[in-house]
Amino acid sequence: MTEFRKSALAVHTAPAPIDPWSRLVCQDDGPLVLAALESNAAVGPWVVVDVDSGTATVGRKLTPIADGHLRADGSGLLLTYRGLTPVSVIPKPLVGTSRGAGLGTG
Amino acid sequence: MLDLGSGVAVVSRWFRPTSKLINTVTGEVLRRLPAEPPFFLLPTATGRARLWALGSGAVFTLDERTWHTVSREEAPRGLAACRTPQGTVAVLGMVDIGHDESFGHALVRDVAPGGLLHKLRSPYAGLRLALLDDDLTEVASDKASWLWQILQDPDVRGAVRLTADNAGRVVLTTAQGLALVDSPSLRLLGQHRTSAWPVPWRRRPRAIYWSGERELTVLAWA
Repeated sequence: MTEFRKSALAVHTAPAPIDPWSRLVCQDDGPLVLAALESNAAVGPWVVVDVDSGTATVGRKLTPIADGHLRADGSGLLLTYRGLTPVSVIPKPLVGTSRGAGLGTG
Repeated sequence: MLDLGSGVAVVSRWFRPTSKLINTVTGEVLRRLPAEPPFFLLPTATGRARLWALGSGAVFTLDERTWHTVSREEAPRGLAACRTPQGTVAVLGMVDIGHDESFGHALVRDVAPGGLLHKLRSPYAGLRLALLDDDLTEVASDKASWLWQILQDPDVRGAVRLTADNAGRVVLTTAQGLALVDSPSLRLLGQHRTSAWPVPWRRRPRAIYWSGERELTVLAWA
């Protein structure tokens, strides 16, 4: 049988707690995880967590994430409540303009 | 959402018979595709995209220049698929959404041993795990009744996701946790319950889930 190992990671998300409705997005082959922080489906803060070191960097202006893909180079494409949203997390979290069909707009 | 590369993604919602191909840079809707999610990209010749719409049970071959449909073929219906070195592993079959499962029944299903599980009627009874070749012909399949125990609500489609961990295992995630499946044999290797939907890394034997307002838990396996 396969052995599972669990390790809890306290994330210092100063502006708000992690949104339980938001899907986490993991970086391809990398240590980074992206999570939206609670914003009642409105635009709000989000966090990029380095799970190897435990450090967290807070970004601005993102809605909860339904789906997404974060590439090894730190660029990503997310499906959010406002549309398809390009992001980059290296060297710091940045959100591009949301376009197209989001979850909120069908 | 499935990123098709070259700045195009297919975006869709459950139970909608039409999906949209969207330019991810401009947001322009390139076309509507009469196909239901989830989508999975199959290998094909360059200049073409072969898109398996598991919800509709069809494979669309699209021209990557114009995004017009070149051909549409019948294919199995299912809930999720992923690529492994041995071929494509998929959860095939449909959930019986008309079956209104009582709370008590769900509870029994949740704790029942394998032998009894087969005697229970379940909205998930039609599901199976399968290994497919590039023509989507089934090479192997398994009833995987353990899968029922980690499914929660038949109305929630997109209830299962599959990822390969690049070490011969397929990672199956649902709102209830994670199961590891040996990819050539489709045998269950291990199960782990989580409080929230775990998200596995691509090509890595680990996953993460939300375990508290300000806490994440990393789950690793070997």
